[in-house]
Amino acid sequence: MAEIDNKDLIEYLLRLGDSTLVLGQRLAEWCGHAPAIEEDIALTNTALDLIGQARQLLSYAGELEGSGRDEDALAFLRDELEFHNLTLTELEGGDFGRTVLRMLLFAAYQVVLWQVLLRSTDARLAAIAEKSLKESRYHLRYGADWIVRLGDGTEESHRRMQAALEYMWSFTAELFDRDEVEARLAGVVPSSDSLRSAWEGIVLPVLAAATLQVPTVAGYLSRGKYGIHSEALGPLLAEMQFLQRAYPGGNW
Amino acid sequence: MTGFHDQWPQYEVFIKSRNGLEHKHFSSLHATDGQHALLLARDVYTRRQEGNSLWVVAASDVSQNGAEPAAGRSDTPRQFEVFLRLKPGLDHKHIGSVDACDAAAALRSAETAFGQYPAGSLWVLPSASVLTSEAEWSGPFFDAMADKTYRLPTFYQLPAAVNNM
Repeated sequence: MAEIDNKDLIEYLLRLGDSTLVLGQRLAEWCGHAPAIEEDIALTNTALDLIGQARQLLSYAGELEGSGRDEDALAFLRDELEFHNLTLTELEGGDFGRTVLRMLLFAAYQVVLWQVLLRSTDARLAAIAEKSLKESRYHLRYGADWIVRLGDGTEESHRRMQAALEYMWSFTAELFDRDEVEARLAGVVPSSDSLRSAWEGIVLPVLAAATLQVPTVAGYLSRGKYGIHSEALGPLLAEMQFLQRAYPGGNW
Repeated sequence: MTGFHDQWPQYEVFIKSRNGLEHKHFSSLHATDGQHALLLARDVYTRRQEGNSLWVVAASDVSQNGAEPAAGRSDTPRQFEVFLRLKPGLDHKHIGSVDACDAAAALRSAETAFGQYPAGSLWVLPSASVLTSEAEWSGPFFDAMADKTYRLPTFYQLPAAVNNM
């Protein structure tokens, strides 16, 4: 096998790590605001899982980079254009329906991806996948449970879930967009387009059980993982990074 | 938010803290249905590795000795799970099961089978109404909680100035 370039692997780890970090931050925004204390804890519990995944992925990226940046430096001291998260993960949470729908869409993607990464020739990435798969399977079950309950619930909850789907769906194309970085990492990581059918095999039956109509959109491709973000990421980072920016090296 | 929880029924949560021990009543929560209660119980009560098996049951299905038993009678006996709290301050702990046609008969059978304790409290609940964390979901439910010391308050060293917090 050809020697892989660490720059490619770093880039790929940032795509995964930033996606989990940013979605973790979005879910953490529910802390103290969820519709019931039980849900408040469940959402922040999931946020902690995602932040835990981000720590492993960003730590690994920092070590490969070898310039002394650790997980904290990567999380708190990079600017918007240096983030490589999927646009889906940075979109404003909106209502609870959007929140749980995104959890389903992203967790299904992670489950499919981790299952392939279990067999990665990169042992460290395979180990992260093994640990994370258990978490993502749970997030998927939690999200699916809510989507069916709300989609196949009252007129109002159905309307909101359908609206959430219309809003989020066009951002899922990016999940399956492949580029040269992945191609050069063949064997280490899967090609994103190869994940789509397994993802649809998970997501579409849930949406059907929830009596939701999958929108027919085509052509639009968000590009967050290539560093081109929506207007939603800046304010998210401003809040997440404020303390380290205002009090550099602050520790507690 | 007024009345929000009025719409969500209460569920009782039982946790087995490790293999070899019995399920013990841990706490309760509100959820839309049993499946939902099971997921929430995992997040709310096992996120710091409190256990490796969960049971949830609607509070309305729990009958206690000395109180009005839950409604519902079957023509043929069905199984009830029995929980005993030896004295106030302890938890209701699973001690076995009995067969009975209704909750009142199950309580009488439980007293016969497991003895009467003056300060004790017995709970019986239909076995069929218990939702359990399935064995094949053990990894996602419980393993995922391991190795996350950052979940624990002891992970964070407070600066001396706020050490009395």
